[in-house]
Formats: sequence, C-alpha cells, structure tokens
Amino acid sequence: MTPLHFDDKPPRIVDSLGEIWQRRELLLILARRDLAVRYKQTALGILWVVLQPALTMIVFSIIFGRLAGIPSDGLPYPVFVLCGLVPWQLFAFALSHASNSLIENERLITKVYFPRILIPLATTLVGLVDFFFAFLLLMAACLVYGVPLTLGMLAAPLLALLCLMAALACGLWLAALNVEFRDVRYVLPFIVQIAMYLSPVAYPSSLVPAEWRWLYGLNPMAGIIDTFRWALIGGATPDPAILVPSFIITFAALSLAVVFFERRQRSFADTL
Amino acid sequence: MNGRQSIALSVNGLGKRYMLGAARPRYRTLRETIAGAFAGSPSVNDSAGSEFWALRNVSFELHRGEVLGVLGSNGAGKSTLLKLLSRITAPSEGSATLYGRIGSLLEIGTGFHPELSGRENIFLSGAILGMKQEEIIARFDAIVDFAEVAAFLDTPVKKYSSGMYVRLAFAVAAFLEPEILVVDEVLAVGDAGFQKKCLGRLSEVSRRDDRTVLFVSHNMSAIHNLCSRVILLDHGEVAFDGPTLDGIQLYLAGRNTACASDLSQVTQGRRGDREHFELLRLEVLDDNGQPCRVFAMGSALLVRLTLRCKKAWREPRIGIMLTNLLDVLIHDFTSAFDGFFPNFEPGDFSIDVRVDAIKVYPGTYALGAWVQKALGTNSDDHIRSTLSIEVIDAKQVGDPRASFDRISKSNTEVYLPCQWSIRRQ
Repeated sequence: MTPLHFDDKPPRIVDSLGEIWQRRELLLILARRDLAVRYKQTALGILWVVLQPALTMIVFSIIFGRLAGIPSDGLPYPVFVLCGLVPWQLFAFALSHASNSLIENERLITKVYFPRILIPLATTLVGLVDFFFAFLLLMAACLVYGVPLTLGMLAAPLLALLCLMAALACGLWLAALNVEFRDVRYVLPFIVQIAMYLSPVAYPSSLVPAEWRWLYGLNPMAGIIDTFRWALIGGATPDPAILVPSFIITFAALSLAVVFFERRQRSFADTL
Repeated sequence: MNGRQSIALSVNGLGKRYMLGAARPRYRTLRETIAGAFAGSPSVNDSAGSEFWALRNVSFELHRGEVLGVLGSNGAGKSTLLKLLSRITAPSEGSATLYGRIGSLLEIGTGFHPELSGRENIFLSGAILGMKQEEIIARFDAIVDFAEVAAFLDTPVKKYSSGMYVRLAFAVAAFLEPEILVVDEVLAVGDAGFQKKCLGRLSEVSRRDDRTVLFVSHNMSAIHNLCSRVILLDHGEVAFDGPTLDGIQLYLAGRNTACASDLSQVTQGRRGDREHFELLRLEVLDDNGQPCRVFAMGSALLVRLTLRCKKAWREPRIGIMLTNLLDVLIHDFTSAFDGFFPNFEPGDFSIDVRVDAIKVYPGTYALGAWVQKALGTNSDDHIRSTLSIEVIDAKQVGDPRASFDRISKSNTEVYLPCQWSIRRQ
C-alpha cells in the first residue's frame, strides 16, 4: 500500500479524482440515505414526485398555453411544457439540493473525512428517482394527447445525466461558497426561478431571435431541454447555435467547478 | 529489513493556524475567494485579525502496534491534531505521512441518521467511516452482538434508548479496523460496563492485530491501561513525549489547581441551609502532604476539608463522599464511625482525613463533603462530586497477576482483600 502523504499544499487534482473513485461505494450509500429519509413521515410520500410536475403542467398550460397563447412547435401544449418540465425539475432539484448539501451535512464534515464532493453528488442522484416517475407521467401524457413515442426515448438516461452535469457545474460552486457565505441560501431560489425563464421550458427556443441564439445557448439547460424534447416527442430540430455553446459550457464549467470545489474543500471543516 | 518498515505514521512540523476576530478568516471578498482557490494555496493576509496557532511544530513517529495517548488540557490542541491526522482539516504548515488506512472516531455515532433503522445505520456509518460493503457484511453479526441490539435492528434509531444508541454507534466503529485508528474522547459516554468493554476492544485490536492507535482521553486510568507512550500537548506544542506514567504525572502536575476545589462558589449539587456550618474548600494530598490527583491503588490519600463554623456547635457529623464516574456513592467516610467528635466555636477550621490505603478499582472518582448537626438531621451543607481523582493500578496491592484495571466495574468498585484456602473433603 502506498503511503499517504499530505501537507499544507492542496493535493493534485488527479489524486483527488482517484480518491473519489476509490470511495464510489459511499456515493451510492449516501444517495440511498437521502432517498430513504426524503419521504419519511409524509402522508402522500412518493406521490409528491408525480404531483409536482402534473400540477405545474396544468398551471402552465392554462397561463402560457391558453391565456398567453405561446406556440409549442405544433405539439399539444401540455405535452410540450411537461417535456420541458421533466428535465428542468431534475436540474432545479439537483442544483438546489447540491448547493445546500454541505451545510445540511455539517456534522459529518466536521467529524469525519471522506471526499466532500460525494455529498453534493449523492444528493443530485436522488433527483433521478423523481425524474423516473416524472418520465412515466410524461409518457402517460403522450398517450392521452396522441403524441407518438419514439425510440429517442432511449436517450433519456443520457440526457438526465447531462442535466445533472449542468446542475453540478453550477451547484458545486454554490455549495462551496455556501459554506462561507450563507447568502447563497437566499439567492438560490431566485437563481432557479430566473434560470427557468431563460430556458425553453414554457416556450420553444425558436422564439429567440436567430442572432441571439449563441448567447441563449450559454445557458447549459437551453441545449439540453431542446435536445430532450426533440429526442422524445419530435418537434423542431434543435439549432446548433444553441446546442454547441450549451454542451461546451456544461463540460467546461463542470471541470472548473470540480477543481474549484477540490481546492476549497480543505477548509470546509474550519469554516462550517 | 530496516526500521522504516514498521513505521505507521510520521508527523513533521505539523501546524494549524486559525484567525481570530476577523469574520472572514482568510478572504475579504467573494471575488478573492474564487481567484484564491485557483491560485493554489491560499495567500494569508498577515495584517488581518489576530492569528492563533492551535498546533505548531508537532513532530513524532509512531510504529505499528503502538498505542499513543495524547494528553493536554482543554485547548492544548489535542482535537486539532486528531482532525489534521484524520484529514478533516488541512494543515497550515508541516506534513504527515500515513502508512496504511486511517480511521477516525471523533464522536459517537458519526453519520447516524435518526430516521433510519439500526441495520441501515450500520451500513451507512460503516461506509462513512471507511469500510467497504463486503467488510460490513462480514462483520455485521459481530457488530450486532457487540452492541446487544439484535432485537431492535429494524427499529429507527431515534426510538433507541441513549444506551442502545451509544452501544450500536461504538460497535460500528470498533469493527472498523483500519491500520491506524484515531479515537477522541468518545468513551466518556455509556455505562461503566460498556466503557470497559470498549477499552478492552481497543487494546485487543492494537495488541492482536498490530494496529496503531492514537487515543485522546481525560480518563487517566484508560490512558494508563491502553497506552505504551504518551505525548503531552501544551498550547499547541509537544511538551513531553515518552513513557505513559511519566507523561501522566507531568500532565497532572501541570494542573495542580485541580487538586483543590474552592467551594464558596459551588452551587451545583449543593444543598443545606448553612446555618451553623459552611464548607469552604476541599483538597486532596498525597502521603507527603503534596497536592496530588493520581493515586496508586493501595496508597495513602489525604483529604483536607476547610469549613467555617458560624454558630458554636458540639459534636457535628462530618463526611467525605467518594463517588464514581456515574455519580454513584461508593463510600461515605463518616467522622462518627471513626470516633471523631470535635466541638466547634465560630471560626474557620481545617480537618484532615487520612485514608491509609485507597482500595478502589482503577478509574476516575470524585470527592464531595457534608456536615450535619446530628444523626438524622438535614445536612447543614452538602456538596457532592466536586473534586475528581484518579486511581491507577501500580501493583501495590493484591497479587501481581490481579489485573485490576481489566475487571468490569459494572457491579463493584471496592477491593476488600481476603484470605483464600482450600481443603480436600
């Protein structure tokens, strides 16, 4: 066994990643804990997972679909909006929970060492369970509205993973900053809300003027939601002007976020 | 084979600095925080706030199978050292090298979640502490046996009694079995019997499996039993590194104040109207009249009680109480039993009580005192467990093979020597 040496300098990022890989089992165990605890002592339990997107779909269909008359790429508006809500809610869940995860696990962080990044990673995984049930709801909605299900459905797990990556690209920063600046807690709901209006959830991205699409694409969720909708229920082919910046920024921001988090994690126990 | 092969842990000039006063210890703004994180090791602004070294220039080496006790008063840096070695926090200077997996036990029930069942928590806590799934499965039955909670495995731990909770939490940690185990003052919980069991488990692990243990405790008896060597920390620096008994004595000599208790301010555990008598001071001394806190089992112990008489009184009863860690009364040294019937005029008096041989089992005990006007009346003044003493086994009484420090204290505390004989019938 190679000896473990540490000093006042941060470890190399490769070593950190190696250590995270070594403790991958713990990731699933923490995720299982978060999941097991989540619906304890709730009357409706897992039903909330389906109720949330269903109710939001109804409200959005009435306000944006009927009253505001927002176009939906020729698809029934309820299916269109639900198809945006499903990945969006995964992103929003993962982002919010990751950002607050370190603070909620303060006792753990100050009493035992393991790669801290496993905490935000594990909470985002819990979102996949919600995603699964919301996805079933989406398929049900497709059947009701006569929208044919395509083989593109099979891409859903991959796209869900992209949602988590986008959420972590932002959430890891917020989680690390939250340790020192509790302001994050208060800014977070605001960020999530604004970001939803900057994403093609309730409206198609075809509404965005062509010359501004590259800028719109800087929001990672813009490209991901467009692709999700296109893969699942068809509609407009996504514009590369949105997709390319979206995917590049997801990967770039996530890499930076991991490096930032690993550097900051050394002082978490002192600052929490 | 060279000596390095057997080294388990080496610490070189380890130090940890904290900033006092400043609300933001290192960084001024969010922008600097972010920039600083990418710049490598954080630059420290020396003018900001006052800095405080919780630990500095700490160097030592530990060999495989060695059990090191870490001594020091509160704030001496014991917990900081353990936190640095277990990597919970990063050092500000110096380095450490660990030859083997390290496991730390800094609180009882790390990672336990109250909503989850005992079974789920064994896996959760085990994984957090660093065990692999298959290791937990392999040791599951042993953990449950040790904790004695088999009947409640599927009950959420929030419904556990505190004793059950502590037992289960310790059991998980006890079977962690890393090459290097770091244990903070976690054994101060649980009942005496279970404490013994935990200590037994720790010494078994170090002896049988050649594990290295770093052990912080205020229980000198436990330190004495377990550790072959101690380091004494004082204001963040190593003040002593060597044999256990020398370290313990140095440590206790450094806190002589604890050999006396000023009773005038004591309110906790005190009763009585203090109409005639008031207790002022309680001291413990060794046979030479020197203040002392640690007594070898079987050696003499001198208690000096200072009291004030407010109104003249004849033949009051005076007592010195000896209680154990759980505040159970072990013995009440009573003046009347020994034919001591003084008469008091108003004034301050000092009374010496000499116990020729203190024959209680090794451990931590506390002394208290009381005074009452006559048998059957309420105490004029009564203060329980106000001054603690340690009793260690120095082989002065009993057979050399007695192993007093390894007996379970759940039932008895006092050693009453007797003669044994055998005859064929």
